[in-house]
Amino acid sequence: MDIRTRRQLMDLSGRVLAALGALAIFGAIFLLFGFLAREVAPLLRPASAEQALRVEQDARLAKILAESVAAGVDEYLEQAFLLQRDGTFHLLDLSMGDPLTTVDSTERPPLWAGGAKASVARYDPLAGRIVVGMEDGRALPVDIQQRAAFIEGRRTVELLATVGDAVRLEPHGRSLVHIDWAAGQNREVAAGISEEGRLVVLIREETRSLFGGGQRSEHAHDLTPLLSGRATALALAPDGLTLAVGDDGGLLYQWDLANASSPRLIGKIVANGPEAGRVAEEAGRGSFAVTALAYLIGGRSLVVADAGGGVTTWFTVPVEGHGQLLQPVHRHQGHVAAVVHVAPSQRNRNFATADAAGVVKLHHSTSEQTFFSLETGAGSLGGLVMAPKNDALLLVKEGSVELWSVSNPHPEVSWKTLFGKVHYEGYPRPAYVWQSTGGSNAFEPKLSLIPLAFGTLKGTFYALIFALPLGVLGALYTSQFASKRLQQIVKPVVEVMAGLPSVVLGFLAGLWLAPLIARIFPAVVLMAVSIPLALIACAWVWRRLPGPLRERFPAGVEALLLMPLLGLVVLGSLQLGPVLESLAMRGDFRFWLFDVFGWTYDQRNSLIIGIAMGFAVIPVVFSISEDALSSVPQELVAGSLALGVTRWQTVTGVVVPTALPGIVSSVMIGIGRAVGETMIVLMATGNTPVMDFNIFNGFRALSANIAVEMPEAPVGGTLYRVLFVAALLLFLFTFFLNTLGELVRAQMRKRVERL
Amino acid sequence: MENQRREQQPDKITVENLRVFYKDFEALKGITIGIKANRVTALIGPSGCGKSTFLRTLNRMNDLIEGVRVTGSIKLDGEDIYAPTCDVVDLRKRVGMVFQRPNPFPKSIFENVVYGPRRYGIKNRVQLMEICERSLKQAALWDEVKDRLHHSALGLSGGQQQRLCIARALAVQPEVLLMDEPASALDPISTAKIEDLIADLKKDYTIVIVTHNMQQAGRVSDYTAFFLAGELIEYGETATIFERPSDPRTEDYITGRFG
Ligand SMILES: Nc1ncnc2c1ncn2[C@@H]1O[C@H](COP(=O)(O)OP(=O)(O)OP(=O)(O)O)[C@@H](O)[C@H]1O
Ligand SMILES: [Mg+2]
Repeated sequence: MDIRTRRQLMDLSGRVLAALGALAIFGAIFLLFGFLAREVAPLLRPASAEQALRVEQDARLAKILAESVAAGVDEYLEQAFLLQRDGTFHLLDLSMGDPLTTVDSTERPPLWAGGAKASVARYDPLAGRIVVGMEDGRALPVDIQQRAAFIEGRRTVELLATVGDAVRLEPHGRSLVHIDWAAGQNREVAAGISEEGRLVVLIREETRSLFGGGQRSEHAHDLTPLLSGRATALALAPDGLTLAVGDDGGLLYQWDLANASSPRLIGKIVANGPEAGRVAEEAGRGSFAVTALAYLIGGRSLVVADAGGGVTTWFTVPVEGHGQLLQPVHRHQGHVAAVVHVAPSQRNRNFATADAAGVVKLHHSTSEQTFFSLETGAGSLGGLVMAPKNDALLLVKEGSVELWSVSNPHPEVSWKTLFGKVHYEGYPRPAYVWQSTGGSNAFEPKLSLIPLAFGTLKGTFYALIFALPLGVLGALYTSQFASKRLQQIVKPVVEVMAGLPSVVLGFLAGLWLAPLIARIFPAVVLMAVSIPLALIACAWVWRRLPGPLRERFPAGVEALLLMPLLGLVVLGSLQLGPVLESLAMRGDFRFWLFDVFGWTYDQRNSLIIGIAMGFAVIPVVFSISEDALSSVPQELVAGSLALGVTRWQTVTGVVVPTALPGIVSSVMIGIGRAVGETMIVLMATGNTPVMDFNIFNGFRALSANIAVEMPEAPVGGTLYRVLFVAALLLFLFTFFLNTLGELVRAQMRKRVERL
Repeated sequence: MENQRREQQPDKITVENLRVFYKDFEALKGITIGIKANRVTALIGPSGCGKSTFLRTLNRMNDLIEGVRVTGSIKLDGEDIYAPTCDVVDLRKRVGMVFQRPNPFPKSIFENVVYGPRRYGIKNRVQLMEICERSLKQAALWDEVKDRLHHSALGLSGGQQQRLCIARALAVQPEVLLMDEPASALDPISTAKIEDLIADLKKDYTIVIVTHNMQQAGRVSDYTAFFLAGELIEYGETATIFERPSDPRTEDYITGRFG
């Protein structure tokens, strides 16, 4: 092989290798991005529902359905029950392949004797209770439990029903048409509307004295006189302390039942129409009769549906001049026909609504999403139940029972809940909140990424305040003024700094620096003032020194002369700190900060982060800036100096402008480092996701949040995927910053090469 | 008659027993020379003989190089420029320099020219414009660039860039102009322009020029100094040096026998 072909071959293989390497890097980035996107994608998938099972066209079933007052389904979708007006249950075995043959109405004794008929019943799956309203005005609570059991080696679902004490709710023995029941602490409350439109409440309270002896009292109230219209719907909060009632005039009544002997009407609020939310005294009436009321899990959000098809979620918020009042907070996609059923989820803020035309919709209260709208066939539904795991809807129709399976894994997440202000229940106004886990299963995850992004930016900002001047000016000094020997010391030291594991920095910052600064805070304040002052004073004195004396020190040494002086200033500040604290800060700087500025002081705060993360960012900024500054051609410097321009003017006039792209790119890459930094922010802040720019408070960064929450996030769950959204955000952010930084740098290299 | 006039011409710069050391290496070994005011002095000599080093000592650009030591004395108008009382920045205002390789700043043509004046505190735009126009005209560049003063100087050709650097140096109105092989990287046309320029500038400036081109030295200079291995071998009027050199080494060099 002759030399030429060999050289060509080498050249070719080198080029191929380089191309392969570049491709591999591209591929890796692309794969990473793809992986993140794949984990996030399910959040964006729309919810869906399809009919899974239909039990129908059986004369006996039709009769059973006509007589049903309540229905329910178990956790595993194996068994549905239908409660009859005569107190008997019918069970449908949903697990068998052919639903037509599985109509199995196991004969059981009726729940109550004496042939009384139920006129209405309300199934509260969360409490595991059906409350039955009788034609004779009595109310009867029945505890219901569906659980798996093995009978003769075969797995079946057992329905256990425990009947409680009946109470006489309607004193005149009239039939009840609406009913609810709540069992709170030491109290049981029943509320009902009779066929005549009478609104009655019965509160049974047990007051326990210190010595154990309990005292029971029963209070019956007829609230009808306080109504301006005819009551059409009611709901009791699960704690039995609030009663919500709707009337045919579109008004919503909010009763406080805390005092059992005298319920207090807190407000009459317009439930729908243009004046919705205003009190009736000021605004009159609503447009449509309220047709259904139901509390969601947690007992704070109330779904209000009306004859006009409107669906809203309400909870109490402070209203000026009226105290805590129920207010329409979330509006949902409405129905065309009157809403007849509201079925809350047992797991989250989902609920289903059904209208008189048989259209069923699934909503989520907080995110205000409506996931789908199902045409279930003509005719009103006799019942609508959400399955315990939210994975199905049970529809009781005139001639059939249907089970629709639902896929809706991440109802809480929408663009708006991730990035917008959301009005969570219990909050006075919409806000950006991150709170992923809570104590009870009624807790609602609040997944706004804004406080975390804010935290990241806050941390970055304070780190940059610290790192940019030091990094850039340090690079300027080292490259332009320091002697070769000093350069040879400074550069490796900074390189070592870059190599410090951030966990070490975080550890030092959190466990050493934070308590230290909290201890000497007044001295730190003093230093913040005295160091710049000392520097300015020195510069002033230096300029007034006679030239020959100045000439004695080679350029760059004057800055070194400052060091001992700065040491003195620091020492002096440390000495004077306590004096300042006792004289000017009334002995305790925390009180003083709070009194004078209204600031609280967290020990692990943004100042600590600024310093610690600044430490991590300085080497990046320094090295790249230094590189850019010292690669400014010496000829340009000489050219400027030869014009009788001072050293400093040369630096600002030629060196910095020429190196500016490099400096900008160092800043960009430094920001990228700060944004992605995890260990330091994790260890040296309190990780509280607050949105507050105060330097003396902590924050929670996107990166630290991922580290904190990932171990607790069930794989594939909503939190898990939202954490991936956070990761994707970080990835894009740092990718963008670094790419921009590199582009600017490449631009600069081209510019210098042209010289 | 003409001889008479030349001898009366006072020295602008007097150098006495100048020695320059790079660390231990002695690059200039006791130079004594007087540079005449408003004359062009050419420095010639083989590569590495210390011409640039000598030139740089005249405006103390050697200060930028680490490990340089200078002994002897250099007086500009009778003042020792290496005295502790001397302000280097002021010195360089008075003694400008044009480098071998054109080194325009990565700025516009206008900004390049007014770079010095701007930093001396002239802010008035009209005044800066006047300076710019005057300097560019002096450097014979005005006609070529007057329509693109605010374009980047890096877009100019090498010869234009070098004339821009001359304009930049002229804009600060120095008394002495040091030129280190200003035409070495240029084509004959640009070179001719620069030579014409030097002839023009002579009335206002004292010029010291380093060149390897004997014809050039003969064309533009009034005086010629021949350096060899750090020593000044011969110094005198150009005509004398070229026609009747007193040292055989000078003659060898000029006639191209070595170097
Ligand atoms: N920065 C420096 N450090 C050490 N030695 C140097 C330095 N600059 C020049 N020298 C040495 O000093 C001597 C004179 O150099 P100088 O650059 O003055 O020569 P010159 O006459 O200008 O040559 P040329 O015609 O090639 O430009 C040379 O031997 C050179 O090696
Ligand atoms: Mg030279």
